[in-house]
Amino acid sequence: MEALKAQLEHLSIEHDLIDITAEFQSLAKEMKPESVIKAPSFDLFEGTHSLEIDNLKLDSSLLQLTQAEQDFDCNVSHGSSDEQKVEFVTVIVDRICRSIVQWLNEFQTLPTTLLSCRYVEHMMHQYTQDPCGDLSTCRLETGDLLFDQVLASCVVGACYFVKFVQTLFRAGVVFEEEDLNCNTMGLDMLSNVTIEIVMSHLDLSQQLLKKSYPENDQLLLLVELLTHLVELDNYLPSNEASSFGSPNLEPVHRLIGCAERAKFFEMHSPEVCEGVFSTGIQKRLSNQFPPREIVKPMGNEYDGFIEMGKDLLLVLSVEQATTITEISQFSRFFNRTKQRNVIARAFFPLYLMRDDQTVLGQYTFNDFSFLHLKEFSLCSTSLSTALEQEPGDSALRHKFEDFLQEISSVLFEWYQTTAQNRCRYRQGYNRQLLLWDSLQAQIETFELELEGQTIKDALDEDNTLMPMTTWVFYMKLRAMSDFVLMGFELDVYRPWEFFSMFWYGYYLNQHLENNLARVSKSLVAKIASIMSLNKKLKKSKAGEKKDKVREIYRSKMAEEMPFLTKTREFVAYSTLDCQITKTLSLVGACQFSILKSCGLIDNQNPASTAFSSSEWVHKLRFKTFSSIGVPELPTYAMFQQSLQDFVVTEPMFGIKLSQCIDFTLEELEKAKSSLRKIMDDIKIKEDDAAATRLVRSESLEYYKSRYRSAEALTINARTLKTKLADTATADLVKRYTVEVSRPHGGCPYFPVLILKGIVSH
Amino acid sequence: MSISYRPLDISKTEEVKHIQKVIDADLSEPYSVYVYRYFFNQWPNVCFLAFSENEKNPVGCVVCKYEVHRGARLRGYIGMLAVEHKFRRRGIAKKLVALAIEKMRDLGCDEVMLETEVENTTALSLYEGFGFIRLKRMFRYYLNQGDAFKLILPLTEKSCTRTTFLVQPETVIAE
Repeated sequence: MEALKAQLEHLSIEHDLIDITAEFQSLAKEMKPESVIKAPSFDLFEGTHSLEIDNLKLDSSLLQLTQAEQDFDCNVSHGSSDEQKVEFVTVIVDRICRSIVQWLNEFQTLPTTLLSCRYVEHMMHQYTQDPCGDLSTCRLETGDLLFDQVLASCVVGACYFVKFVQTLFRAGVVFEEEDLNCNTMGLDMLSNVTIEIVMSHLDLSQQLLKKSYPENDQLLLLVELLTHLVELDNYLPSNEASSFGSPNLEPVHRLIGCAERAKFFEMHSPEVCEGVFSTGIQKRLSNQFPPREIVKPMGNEYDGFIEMGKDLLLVLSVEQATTITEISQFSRFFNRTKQRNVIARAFFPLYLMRDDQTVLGQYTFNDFSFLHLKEFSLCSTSLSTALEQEPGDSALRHKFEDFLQEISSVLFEWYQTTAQNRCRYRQGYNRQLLLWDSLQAQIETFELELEGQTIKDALDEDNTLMPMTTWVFYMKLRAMSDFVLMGFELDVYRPWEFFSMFWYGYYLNQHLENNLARVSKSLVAKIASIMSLNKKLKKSKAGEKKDKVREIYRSKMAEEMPFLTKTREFVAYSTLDCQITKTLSLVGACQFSILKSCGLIDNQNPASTAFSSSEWVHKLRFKTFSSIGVPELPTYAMFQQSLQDFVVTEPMFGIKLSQCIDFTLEELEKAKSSLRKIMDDIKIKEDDAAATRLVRSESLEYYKSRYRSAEALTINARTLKTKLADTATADLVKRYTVEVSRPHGGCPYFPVLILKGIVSH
Repeated sequence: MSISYRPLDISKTEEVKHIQKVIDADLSEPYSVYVYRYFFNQWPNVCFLAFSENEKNPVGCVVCKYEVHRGARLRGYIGMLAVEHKFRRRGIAKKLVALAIEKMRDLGCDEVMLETEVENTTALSLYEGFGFIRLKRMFRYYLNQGDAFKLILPLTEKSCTRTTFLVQPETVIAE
């Protein structure tokens, strides 16, 4: 309470106050005992973020500052000689740079990193009080240029970078507190200052250092690093300069180069800058968070700039995509095997889908959606022909354009999801599924109507292609499969749930394979149809009719055939990819059933029946899919029956078990062969069928991890064969327990259930 | 040493203060008095305390609430669970959770939800022993930057239907 009294005295709230004691007491009398006074909107979430005066864990004003922290003055130079002054400024700038990495890459807060620097607080406080765009109110006044020019420009550069990050953050791609903490303690991060002013400030510092301190490489290097960090602002698509042509990657390369060199300088002793980095800002300014210790550098911070730079270069390379399939594959792989730096993740959707309503400044959203369809199933169909022949204001075109808009909004979410952190990535699909499902239902109705008007593409006597529905279904199934498999990665499923999840993954990929087979069949037919025109040409006699056929043939060969052949290759690759997922899921389900056959695991959790039921728990697990129209979620009974179908029983238990294991080994060999085929294609061909030219190493890493998983499952199958054959079934439970193993370097979507020997005491 | 259990009586101020101390000492998240009062004052009937025969103050507690979730189902929520260190490994936490779930079920809750740290295997094992399943993982959920699992125990079939399909069209909120 003493601290509280001291604070109140410090506030000097004596003037312009009105005595409301009587009103307060009168209102208090009307209160019901034990009621909580709160605004209706103030819920538990707000509550958990509430602070409490005089609570050491929650009240920043109770923070104790050292004498050095209390006495520190930003407006005097520190160090008694030139050498000491240079060392001091170098240490501060080095720590400022390290703080930026800790804030971003280690998910720390600004007040415990960058804003813990007194110089940053001091200058930004000045700027907030009087936000002049020319920085005339944001300066140091020690009378020494090392401080007033060099250090001040570094503070301005670092804060301008925070402003850039704030811009990214406001776009809503990444999430406050989990991905990034942008709490600036109410300080204005140079909102009115242009990049030119900041660059000129930093440039002056570089000139000064080169001229007056030529021997101090480190400080100059750090100023350069901050300069390149500031230049990242130029990549924002809202910045006009970046909207046209390829981005200038030089600043990112230079940033990486600076960081590579900076990391070889040893970290200075913290005593040099005693009092400069402090929790004081949390005490002095409005802190909406519990007090926290400041984060001290560990020594490897410059690697963080290198990582950020490399991830940014990767994201910027999406601009080189020449097809929509390449963009789509880029988004599939760039953030999959490794969670990318938060700046790169926040940047990707903004760079791809821009404020000017274009994708990469090249396609309108509707064109982007249209090309997704065209590069998969729409090319050379009755619908595409009808759309070409219809006038622009026809009902068909209007309806089609409306659907393109709807597709655009779901695709917007799709691409945004791929840039999320691991947990949000999975949840994004959960939300999207309803959108894809609803879109599929609407588009299917539309295409059935078209079929009534003879706009249809027959696959065989009983089936038609329905190109738009087919694409939406393909996207939906991919989202469903990813949602299921990412649950394994995030450790969401317990071992007793593995059969259901693997079996459902298998089921979804069987549907996906069927869908791809339909597209493939259609593509083969279309290509054959175009090729048959050539034969027709050769057979027909010269004349007007032949000229017409020749014209159609040339047009189709020029405009449709390239799309069709590329799509055929991509669909063939996608089929292999899907078959691999299907096989690995099937093997996961088989290995579970083998263990169940031996009484070592069960899909029924006895705990489920204490307050609930196994069926409800199962239904809760599959709630996400319960409303999906196609493919229909199998019933609980079907899940149970499928496991029974997999389980090996007497008679000839041993032989059947061995056959079951052999079956998984054969399936795994097929999967490995498919994986080798995909990887060879990616490695060897510049224009690979997988369209992963821009994410070659990332996609290869993904397939390598699947290969390692297939190998781990193979080893496990052989181990199971040996252990299960060597032990009488009745003794297995006494000798082994089942554990989850995540093979090193393996794909996290396919954990392995292994036997672990019970150690007897 | 026998342990007895009873719901919270908020008129017993010392007990309330002591519970706060027990929880503060145990949980990684610092909570304000507001958070405690938010639970205690509104839902004392689903906050249970454990008493040891030789101790004046409670040695453990479970703090819960229940509310209509998105206009669709009644959701119970376990906010905090703590047992004093020297009274651990005696099944007190398990009993407290069982009492809370029973009470919430009797009150008509369709499900019980909670969050727990991914690294807290003891808590996960406790709750999974009641049939809770991990519905989703939340990235850097806690102040200590750890991920959390959201756990749910379905008490009725309503828990197994997406909110969108339980509420009236005019009140649909995407889940």
